[in-house]
Amino acid sequence: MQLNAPRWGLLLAACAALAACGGGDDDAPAAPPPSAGGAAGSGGASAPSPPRADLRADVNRDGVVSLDGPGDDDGEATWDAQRGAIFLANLDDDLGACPIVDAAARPLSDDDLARCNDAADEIVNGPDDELDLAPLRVAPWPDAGDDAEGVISVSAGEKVRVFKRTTSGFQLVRAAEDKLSAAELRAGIELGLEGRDIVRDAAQWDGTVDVTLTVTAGGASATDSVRLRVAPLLFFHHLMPAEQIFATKVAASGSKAFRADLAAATEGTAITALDELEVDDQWTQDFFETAFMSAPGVGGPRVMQVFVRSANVYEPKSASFPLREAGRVVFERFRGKDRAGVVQYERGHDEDSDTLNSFGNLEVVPPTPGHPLGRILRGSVPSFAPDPSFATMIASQRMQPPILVDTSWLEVAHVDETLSFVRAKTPLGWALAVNDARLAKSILEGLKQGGHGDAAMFEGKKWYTDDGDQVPAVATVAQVLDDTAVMSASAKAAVEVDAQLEILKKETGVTDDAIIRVPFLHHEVYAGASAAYQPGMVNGIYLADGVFAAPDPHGPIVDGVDPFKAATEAAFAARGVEVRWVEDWDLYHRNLGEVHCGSNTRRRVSVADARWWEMAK
Amino acid sequence: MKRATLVGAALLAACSLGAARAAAEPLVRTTDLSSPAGAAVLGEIARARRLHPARFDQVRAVRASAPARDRQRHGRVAQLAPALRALGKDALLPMLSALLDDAPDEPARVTLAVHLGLLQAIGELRDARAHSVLVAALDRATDPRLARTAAAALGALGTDEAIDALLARTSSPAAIAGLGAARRARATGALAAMLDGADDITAVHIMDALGDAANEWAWQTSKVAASGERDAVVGVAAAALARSFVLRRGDARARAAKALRLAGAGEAVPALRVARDGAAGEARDAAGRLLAELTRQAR
Repeated sequence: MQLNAPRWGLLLAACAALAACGGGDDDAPAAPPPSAGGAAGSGGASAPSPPRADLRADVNRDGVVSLDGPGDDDGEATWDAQRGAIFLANLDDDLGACPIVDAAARPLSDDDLARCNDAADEIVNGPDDELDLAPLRVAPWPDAGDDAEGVISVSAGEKVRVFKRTTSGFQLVRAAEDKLSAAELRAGIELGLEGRDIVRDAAQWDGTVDVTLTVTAGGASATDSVRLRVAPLLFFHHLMPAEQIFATKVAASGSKAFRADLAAATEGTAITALDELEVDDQWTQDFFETAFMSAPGVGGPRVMQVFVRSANVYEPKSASFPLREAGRVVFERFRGKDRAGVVQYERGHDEDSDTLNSFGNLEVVPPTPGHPLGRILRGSVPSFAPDPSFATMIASQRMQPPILVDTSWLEVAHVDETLSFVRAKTPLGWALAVNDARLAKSILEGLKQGGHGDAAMFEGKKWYTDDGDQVPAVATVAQVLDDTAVMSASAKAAVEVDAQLEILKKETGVTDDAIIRVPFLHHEVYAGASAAYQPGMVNGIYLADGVFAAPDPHGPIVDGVDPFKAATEAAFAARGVEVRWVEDWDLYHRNLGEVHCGSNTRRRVSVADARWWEMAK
Repeated sequence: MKRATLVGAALLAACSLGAARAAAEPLVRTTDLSSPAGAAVLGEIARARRLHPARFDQVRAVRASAPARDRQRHGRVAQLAPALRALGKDALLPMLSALLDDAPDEPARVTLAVHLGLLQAIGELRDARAHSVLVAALDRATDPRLARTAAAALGALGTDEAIDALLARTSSPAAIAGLGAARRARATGALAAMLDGADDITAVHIMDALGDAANEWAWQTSKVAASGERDAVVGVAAAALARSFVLRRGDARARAAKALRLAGAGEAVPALRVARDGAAGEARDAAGRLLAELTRQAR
C-alpha cells in the first residue's frame, strides 16, 4: 500500500499510528517529507485515522485469501514462480446457457458461437461460476470515516472484470462509477476477479493484471496493488492418463470396424467407453484439441477443461462460417460447466498450408528438463506454416514452447504421421516412436531373400473407385521393393525423418536408446508429396500406460506372422508397451490418415501438472 | 425428388465445399495435340476406346469417386493415384483420355486432385506415348503442384525428347524437378552444370532434383536401373552436391546435405571427401561432420 498526498495533520496522525503498529508494513502510510512541519486539520486524539488500503489476493496460492499475516501480502505486487495470484479465463458455460442457434433457429456464425461464455456478460452466472473467479479481499478498515471511499482499478480493464460480494450476490464493480462506500471499507469487502480471455498475443497483453485499491479519506489517499496472472492454456502430453476417447461416427465404409476396434483397444484402461461424435468429418484428431487451465483453489488446484477449435479455414470467403464445420463441437457439444471453448484463427492465412492447422499437427512432447509440462510439437517451416495468430497464441502461453519440424514433404504434413510418444523407463521417462522406412525396407528385403518375394501385402484391401467397384490394393513383397514411387519416396522419408529426429534430439535430449523404430514405407501421391504407403503404425493413439493402439499394417503373412506387426510389437514391448491393432484401412489409411488422425483423447490433469505456476518462468 | 430439388441440392453441396469452381480451361486440350506424335496418341486413344471400353470405364469410375474422396480428404487434396496406379499399364490410354478437355463443373480442388492423380499414375507407367499430353500439361498448368507432377512424369519417360522438352523450360522449377526425375546422365549433367552458377533459391530446386536423380533406393528398382546409367547419374549428382555443400551456407547447404543422404554413402562419401579436401575453415568442418555421419550410417 502506498499513501499519497497526505495533509500534514493527517501525516502526524499517521506517524502516530505507524509507531503504534511497530511500523515496517508496506501497507503503512508514508512518512512526511523532512521539510514538513506544523499541524493542520483535526489533529490530536480526535483526528480521523489516515486512509488505509489493504487489498489482498491469493499470493501464496493456497486457494484462500488471508488477511492474517504476510502470506498473502508480501510480494503481492509482483509475480514469479514462488508467489503471485492467478486467475482463470472464465470461458466455460456453467449454466449451459450459451445458445448455438439464433432466434430463427439458424446456426450461430462461427464467431458468434465462440463469443458466448461466462465472461461474456457482466454477471456471475451462479454458484459454480463464482468458483471461476479469483478471490480478492479488501481488508476491513474499521476506523474509516464517513467520507472514506474506495475505488478499484485494473491495469488491463478489457481483460478482466471485478465483482464484489453483496447481500444479493456478486455485483460488477466499474472502476470509474462504482465506489466502495465507507461502510464497505469498514466491514471489508470480498471481491472476485474474472478473466475474460486467455493470452492471445503476449506482445499485446502478457496475461498479468494489476488491481489497485485506492482509498481516499479526509483529503488523503492510500493505494494498494496486487498483481495476478491469467492461467495459461496448457495442452496435454501423452504421459497424462487418458480419461476419454473420441471418434467420429460416420456412415462411410470402415467407420464401424474402426470404432469397434478402437473401443476394444481401451479394455483394461481408465477409459470406459468410446465417445462417438456425429459430425461429417472423420478426422477427429484434427478439428479439436483438448487442453486445460488451472488456478489455485480451496483444497487443491481448480481445473477448467478447455476444448480448442482448429484454425482450419475451409470457407475463407464466408462471412459467417469460414471455419471447418466439425470444429463447432467445441462449442455445441463440449462447452459447459468447467469446460471452456476456445478458437483462434485469422482469415487469409495461406490456403495451401491450412492442413497444418489441423491438430494432427499439434502434439506435445512429454516433459523434458526445464519444461515439466512438455513442449508443443508442430510441423512448420517459414515457407509452409500454420495460422500465425494461432502460433502466436500458443507461444504466448509461455509454458510449452513449440518445437518446429519440417513436415512440408508430407502431403498431409502432420507431425503425427511420423512421430509419437509413450511412457517408458528412460532417463526422460518416455520414449519417442518414430517412422523408420529403412527398417521397413530391410524387413521386405529379408523376406525376399528368404524366398517370400511373392508374399502378398494388403491382401483383400482395396483402393477407391466409385461405390462398389474397387481396385485391389494387393502387392507382393517383390513388387513393392521394385516400385519406384514407393522406394524413392521411402528413401526421402528416411532422410526427412532423420532431420525431424535431429531437431528433437537437440531440443529435448532424447537419445537413440529411447527411440522406438516403427517400420513402414511411404509413397509419392503426387510429385513432392509423400504419404504412408503401408498403414503408418506410428500414427496411433496412446490409451494408457503400456497400451498403444496402432493401425493394422496388413503386411505379408509368412508362416502365420505379419513381420511388420511382429517388429512393431517387439519394439514397443521392449519399452513395456503393448500394441493393440485397429482396422483403419478403408476410412482412414486410403484417405491418408491413420488411427491417431481418427481419434482424440481428453486426459486427466494431476495436481502436480495443475500447479503449473511452480514451473512458470 | 424433383429435378429442381436435385439441382438445388447439388448447388448446396457445391457451396458447402466452398472451393472455387474448376477453371473453364482444361489442363490439356485435344487441340494441343496437333503434332504428329500428338495425333498418333489421339488415334491410339480412339482405337483403345473402341476395343477396350471397360478400361475406360475403370478410369472413369476412379474419376467419379473424386468428389467423395474430396469430402473425406485429409490433406491438401484427395488422393487418387493409388487407385489409378493399381489399374496397371492398360490404363495408360484411358488416363490420357481422362486428362483431355477435362473441365467439369466441380470445385477446383476436386479437379486438381483428379489431374494430380492422373499425372502421377501416368508418370509411373513411363510410357513414351504420354509425351505430348505431358508437355501440354506442363505448359498449361497454373498450379505449381500440377506443373511439377507433369514435369516429373515427363522426366520419368527418360527419353531424349522428354529431356529436350524439360531443358527448354528450365526457367521453371517444375522442369528442373522433371530433369531430376528423369534419372538420365544427360539430364543430370545439365543440372550439375546449372548448379554451380545458380543463386541460392534456384540452387535449392536444382539440389532437390539432383537428390531425386541420385536417390539410392530408386536405383534399386528395375525401371530406373534399366537405363544402365546409374554410375554416371549418381556420381555426377553427388559430386555437384558435395561441391555445393561446401560452397553454400544455411538452408542451401542443408538441402545439399539432404540430397547427398538420398544418394547414399557409397557415392556421397567419396564425393564429399573431394569437396572437403578442397575446402577450408567452417565449410571444411561441416563437410567433415557430414562425412562422419554418412560413414557411420554406411557401417
